[in-house]
Amino acid sequence: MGRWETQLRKGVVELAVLASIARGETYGYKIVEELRALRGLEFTESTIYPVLTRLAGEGLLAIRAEGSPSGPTRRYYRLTDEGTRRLRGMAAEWTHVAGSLEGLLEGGPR
Amino acid sequence: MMAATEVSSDVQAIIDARLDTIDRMLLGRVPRAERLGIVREVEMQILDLLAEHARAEPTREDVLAVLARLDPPEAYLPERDDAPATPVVRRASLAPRATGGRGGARASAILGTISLVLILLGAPLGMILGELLESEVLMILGTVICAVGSLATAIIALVLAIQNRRDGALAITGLVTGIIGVLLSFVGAIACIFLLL
Repeated sequence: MGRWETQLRKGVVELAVLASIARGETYGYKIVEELRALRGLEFTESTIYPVLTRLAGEGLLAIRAEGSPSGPTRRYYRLTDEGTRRLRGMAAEWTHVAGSLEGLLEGGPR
Repeated sequence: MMAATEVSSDVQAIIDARLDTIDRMLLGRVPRAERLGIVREVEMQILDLLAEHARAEPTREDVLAVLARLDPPEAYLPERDDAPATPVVRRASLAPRATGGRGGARASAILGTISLVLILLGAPLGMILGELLESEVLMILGTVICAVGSLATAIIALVLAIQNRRDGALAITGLVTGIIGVLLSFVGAIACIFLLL
């Protein structure tokens, strides 16, 4: 993967994690699996987990602990109000950037 | 539905070794709460992957196969621009000071030595020259210049030696020569006063 692709993916990982959690309460490994299935968002666990714990530390995610079938307590994440606001802001920004870029790439008149 | 995973002690030791390695990679680079959170998530993932094998008690080979599918511990090393400031500051305080370092200790030793040379050689030389040329002014001026110069360099040497006290022999040299330089400068100053009288 080229440097540009790496930088682009690095810039959207936080948005992707927040968007994934916005679809409903979920846990770390499930987020990794979900994003891995999406082209261009194939982040691995060493990228997702640090972002996840940082977002939780910033108060953007709430954690609920519950025993799991496979052993120890699992941590389930959901967006807090602040997390929802952050996601909306990031999504709006993304839409603007993507729209502007699309216009440029379509090669319309100046 | 996944089966609950019973892990034997030797299999658990392999898992713990991986988790400890990730923990060490993050230590001092990521806040403690986040570090523990990351390690806990990796542990859950390992157990989930083992449970997917649907074997009640995974073997050593099962665990190794699961670990091979995961990112290596080095992948958890945060990039520099993501690193939090606090641990870095703590580490920086243990390192030699950026303003001095070994250069500061070396300068201290050199200045201390110059201070001694000035007062032990410069001042007597001024006096001898004054005697030879039968010039009292030259005698006093030479001694004063050497005493003041020696005092100034000795004080700077002392300050640098204290600032860089962790730098061993050079700082100690600066400290000792600085102290002697200050004392001898005072002796030189007293000698000047006697000459003037």
